[in-house]
Amino acid sequence: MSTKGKDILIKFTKQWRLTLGLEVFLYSLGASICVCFLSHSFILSFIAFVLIGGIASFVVKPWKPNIKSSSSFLDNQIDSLEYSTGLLLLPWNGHSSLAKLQQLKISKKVKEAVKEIKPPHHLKRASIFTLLLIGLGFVLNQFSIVDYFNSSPKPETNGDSIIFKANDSISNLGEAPKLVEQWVTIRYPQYTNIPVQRASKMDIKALESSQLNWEIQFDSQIDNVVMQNMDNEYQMRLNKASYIWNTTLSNSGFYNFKFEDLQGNSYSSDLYAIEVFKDAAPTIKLQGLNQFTSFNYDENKIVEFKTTIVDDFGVADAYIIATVSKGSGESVKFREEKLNFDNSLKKGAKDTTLSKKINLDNMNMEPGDELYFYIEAKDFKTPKSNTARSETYFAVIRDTTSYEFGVEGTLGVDRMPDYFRSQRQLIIDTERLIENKKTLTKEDFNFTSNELGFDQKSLRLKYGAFMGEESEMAIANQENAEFAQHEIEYDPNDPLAGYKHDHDSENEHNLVEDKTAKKEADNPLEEYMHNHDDPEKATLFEESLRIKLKKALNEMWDAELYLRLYEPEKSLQYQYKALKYIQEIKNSARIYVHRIGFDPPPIKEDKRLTGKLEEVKSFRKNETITQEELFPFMRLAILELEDFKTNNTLFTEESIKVFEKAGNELSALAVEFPSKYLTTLQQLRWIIDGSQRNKETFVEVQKGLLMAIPRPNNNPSKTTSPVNEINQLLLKELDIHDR
Amino acid sequence: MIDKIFFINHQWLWQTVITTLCIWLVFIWKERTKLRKKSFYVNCTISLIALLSLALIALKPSVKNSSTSFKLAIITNGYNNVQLDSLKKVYKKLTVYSYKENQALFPSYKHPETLFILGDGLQPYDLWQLDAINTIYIGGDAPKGISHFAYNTQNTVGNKALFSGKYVRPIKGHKLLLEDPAGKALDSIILNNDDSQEFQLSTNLKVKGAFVYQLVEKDSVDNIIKKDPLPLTIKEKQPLHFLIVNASPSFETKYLKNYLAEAGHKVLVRSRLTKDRYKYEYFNMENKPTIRFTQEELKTFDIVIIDLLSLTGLSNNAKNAFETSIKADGLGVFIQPESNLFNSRSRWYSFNFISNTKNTTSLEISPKNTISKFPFVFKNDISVESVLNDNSNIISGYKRVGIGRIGTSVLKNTFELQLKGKTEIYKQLWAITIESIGKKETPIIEWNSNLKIAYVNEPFSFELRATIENPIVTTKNYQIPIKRDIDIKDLWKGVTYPKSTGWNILQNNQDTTKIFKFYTINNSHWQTLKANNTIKSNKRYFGTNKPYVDTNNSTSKPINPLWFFIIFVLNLGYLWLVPKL
Repeated sequence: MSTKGKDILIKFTKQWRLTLGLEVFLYSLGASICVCFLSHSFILSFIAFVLIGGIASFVVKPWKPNIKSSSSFLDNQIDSLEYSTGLLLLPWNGHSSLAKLQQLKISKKVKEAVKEIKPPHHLKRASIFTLLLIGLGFVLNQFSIVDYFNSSPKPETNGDSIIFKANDSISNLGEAPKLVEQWVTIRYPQYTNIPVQRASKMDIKALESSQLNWEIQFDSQIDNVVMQNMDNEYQMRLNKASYIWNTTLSNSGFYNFKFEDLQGNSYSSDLYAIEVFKDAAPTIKLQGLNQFTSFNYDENKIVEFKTTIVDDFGVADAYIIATVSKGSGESVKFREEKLNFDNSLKKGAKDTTLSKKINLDNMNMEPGDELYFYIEAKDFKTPKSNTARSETYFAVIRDTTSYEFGVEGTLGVDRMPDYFRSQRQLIIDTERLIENKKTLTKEDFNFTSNELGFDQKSLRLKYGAFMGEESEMAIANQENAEFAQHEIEYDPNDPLAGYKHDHDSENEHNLVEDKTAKKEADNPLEEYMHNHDDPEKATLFEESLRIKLKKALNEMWDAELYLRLYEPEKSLQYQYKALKYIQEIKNSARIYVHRIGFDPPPIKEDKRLTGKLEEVKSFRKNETITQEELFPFMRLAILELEDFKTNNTLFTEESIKVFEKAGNELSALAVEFPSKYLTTLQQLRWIIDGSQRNKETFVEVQKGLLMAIPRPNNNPSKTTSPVNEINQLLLKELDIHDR
Repeated sequence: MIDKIFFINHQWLWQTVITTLCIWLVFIWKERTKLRKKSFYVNCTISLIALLSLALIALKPSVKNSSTSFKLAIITNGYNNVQLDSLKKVYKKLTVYSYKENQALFPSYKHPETLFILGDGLQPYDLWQLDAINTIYIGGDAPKGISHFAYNTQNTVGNKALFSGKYVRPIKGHKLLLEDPAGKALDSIILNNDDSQEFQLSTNLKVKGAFVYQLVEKDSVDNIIKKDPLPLTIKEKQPLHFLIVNASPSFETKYLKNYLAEAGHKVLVRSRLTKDRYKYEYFNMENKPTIRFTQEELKTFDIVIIDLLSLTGLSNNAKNAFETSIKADGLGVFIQPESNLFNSRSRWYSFNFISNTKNTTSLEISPKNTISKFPFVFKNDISVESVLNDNSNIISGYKRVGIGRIGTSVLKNTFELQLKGKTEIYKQLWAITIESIGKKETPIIEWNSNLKIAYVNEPFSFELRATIENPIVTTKNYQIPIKRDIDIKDLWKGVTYPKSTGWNILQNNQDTTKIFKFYTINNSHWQTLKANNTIKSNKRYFGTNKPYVDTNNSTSKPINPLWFFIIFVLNLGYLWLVPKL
């Protein structure tokens, strides 16, 4: 009984799965038919079928419904099942009797319920979608809208075939030989590894120095097949049934074919383009490296970088050229090395990434040495390969032993000792000390403050030197010495004073009255003396400066005092004042030089140009720098065409030559601007061949040529004006009355 | 009455009279047998009458008709019907002829008392027929279309060809296009609704040769209304021979000499290094002369560009040579300006300047660009001819000295234009200056024609200036008679009648390289212009010729010879019949 109920559930599940599967099928069917309409390709529509089927089945998940989800779905949908379909899934024997009863009841109900209810699905939506897609495909196909986007849905084989035109319009009446086969074979240079290409399309785009081979075959016997290329004509060889011509590509241009049938009528083809592109040199990109790197001598001196080398036909070789320079100035020495990359180059790879680690120590480099390096890459081009170079990169090991010259303020001489701290530095240090007060121990704080005090003292002494103060010590010593001498001279305790013949004193014999002090006081030369000894009289600075400097020194004294008292906060204000004074002094000591132009000393008129001129020679220079007129033959051709246009002049050999040369001039232009001049070139060809010599063509070609000739430059020319007796008489009369 | 009869063949009067008398005497001699008979006298008289009537048949006697009312109106192209009607109203017996070119206006025996011309008028070559007739030119409506048109039929490669004209009663929305020989539009103008519109079209000439440009009128939807040919003979540029003399090197000279030398001119630059030492630069020259300023040396140059210092430093001999070269050989001198030039007065080379505060100017040739200049402009003297203008101020100018020219400019540092990238303007500026000052070539033979275009089978008058003796002009193997001008010895005039359209050639037999190409068209082109020229020449002709009062304005009518013949036959009939009776 229960199995029956379960079977119903299983059946329901299968039905559910089937519905979902159908949904998926509908989606993919619609898409594939639509694609089929658009592309007319079964393969594409099959791919679309599979692809859309995959996506749809991933979204719809037709495998998902299982028996459990069926039962819970039914439970949810139908109240009369009393949420008991789950019982049907359990084995009959394991149930309690109540459960068995319920199971029996439910299995009956399920049977009816399943008839009423369908598994959840979106078949309607799917079929509408499918119909819409098919309709859309049909409509697009009907209006062939796709062709707008798809330039060549079906490759037209006929369009490429060479069309020969009879050069003489009368011969068109006869049966023209027909082209059976046309092939052009492009054999790229060996190194490119590009297989030989064979095409029936006559417009060629190929690499420089590729081998080209043309083959054309006709249904009937013909004669004198030539390939015309710009200014040359090449006779094509008959090989079996087809005509052949080989050449090696060197430059872009245009060509056409020409042949004669056995009746002697000549036929020529349209112009075809040969576009030559050159093998480009490899491009090198360096990553992860600055152009300039510097290392300290104790650092890990490794330069590491990655480089990407790209070439259109493969890289043949890549290496690093490194140069180490040692020493400086005249004793500089260079050593060049070729380094290989760490990972080996895969030859022929079009895009390769290489890395390198250069350890400067391995390069025998010492502090102060510099390393320059660049990467060079080559491709396979023969006979001469293209070589590319990266930018040059620098790596330097800093030389810390070298002495760097510094100049403080306005002083032209480097007088600052290494330990010397400037006032500004002192202020900075003091402020830092105050800032760090909390973190420092008292000893450290006091020690640093004292140190700063000492520095302040040194600075004061330094500036004192400008004042003429030797040094504090020196002053102190001098005082001591005087005192000592005084002691010696006037030592009351000297027992020998009375006996000794004092030669050491300046006034040893007391011959003269000791008026030294007095003399010094009224030394008449004193005013004129340049006495540096006395700081009061030192004249290193003018008066106001001295006052300022003195003020600065006083401030420094105070600053030092508070530093020594471990009160840097109080010292700071004095330091700032001192700094201010020093700045003022510096600024006042600057000399501002007014900028003036060069004012040469005046030269006397009579002295001018009186130098000796024997060595000065007249000088002659001869040059021809006429710029040739551009496109001379195109100009001639325009003139000739004017003649042909109006009169039925016969074509001469000369005029054909002119047209051919004009064609050569134009084809150079046409390579650059094919859209502008190619038609004209083609028509010019027709005129030369004689296939279209009519007024319309002449006018068209003339128009094209006139357009190609650039606007002439402004250039004066000799003009003519007749001179006759009457004019001259008039001028003479005018001249007479003018005076 | 008798004075009103005259013989048309009066030149045969005596011969006829003598012959008649002789024949009559023979007749009398033959009749001598009947002497003293009455019939003798009768027969003699009859025969005399017969002979006289025979003689009168030969002499064609004519009777002067003094009826004065004969008036004639000639209608030509573009006549106004209303005018004709009102004329007819006034003169009831007005005879109307329509005009046919190159034919007799009226029979020679029929001289109208007064002749009216309606419409555009007679072709200039038909006007002579009215020399002796009192004519009144009434005219007609002004013709619609291009009434005036001017351009240079002879031009040079690289020049700008200007085509200017006047369109009478244009239709709004129509366009005038200038097309090159291959039919590419080069310039165009849209016509508006005015009574008349002046226009100017231009193009740069690229290629030498004889070409036919076209002036095309199109309506607003590009239908071609009219197409008129513009024949143009374009010559190659002729290189000039320059001498540049500088006392010190300057940027101005450096750029100028480079420009000139690159353009293919022969340039000799002499710049002073120091006293009596010079740097000579020869560009595009084969021989390398040293310059000592003699007239002979200066003859080879077309233009001398000299700075003021070099000019003032010339020796007296050199200065004289200079002056004679300018006066006699037509040398052109351009003085490179510097501030001293504007102050120097009363020298042979000096100009009058007016100070002007502006230090820059914008020239009319390129109004958008400013060029630095000295704060002076030329004083607008009668002797100064302008080369470059800024509005009304002359910026560069020259004066004539003899057949040569001395010019200068107030422009300063024109090379700055090149530095600014305005090379075109720099070149244009100097090309204009040099071309106007430079020596003019005096051609051995110079052709000229007032008519730009010839019409088939119509007279085309041309002028020829030739220094050679008795030039002979031929076209297509027949010689054209030419007439020397009464005042100017080397000016010759001639008329030819081209037979075919297209380019026609006149050539001089002494120098066959000097040919004159002129373009011939048929009457369907340039109609308005032609009509306008006809009106002008008619007005001129009849305006200056005072109404001719003919004192002898009667017309004569020959007596019908049939009358004389009848008399003759009757008389002879009598003489024949009488003996038979």
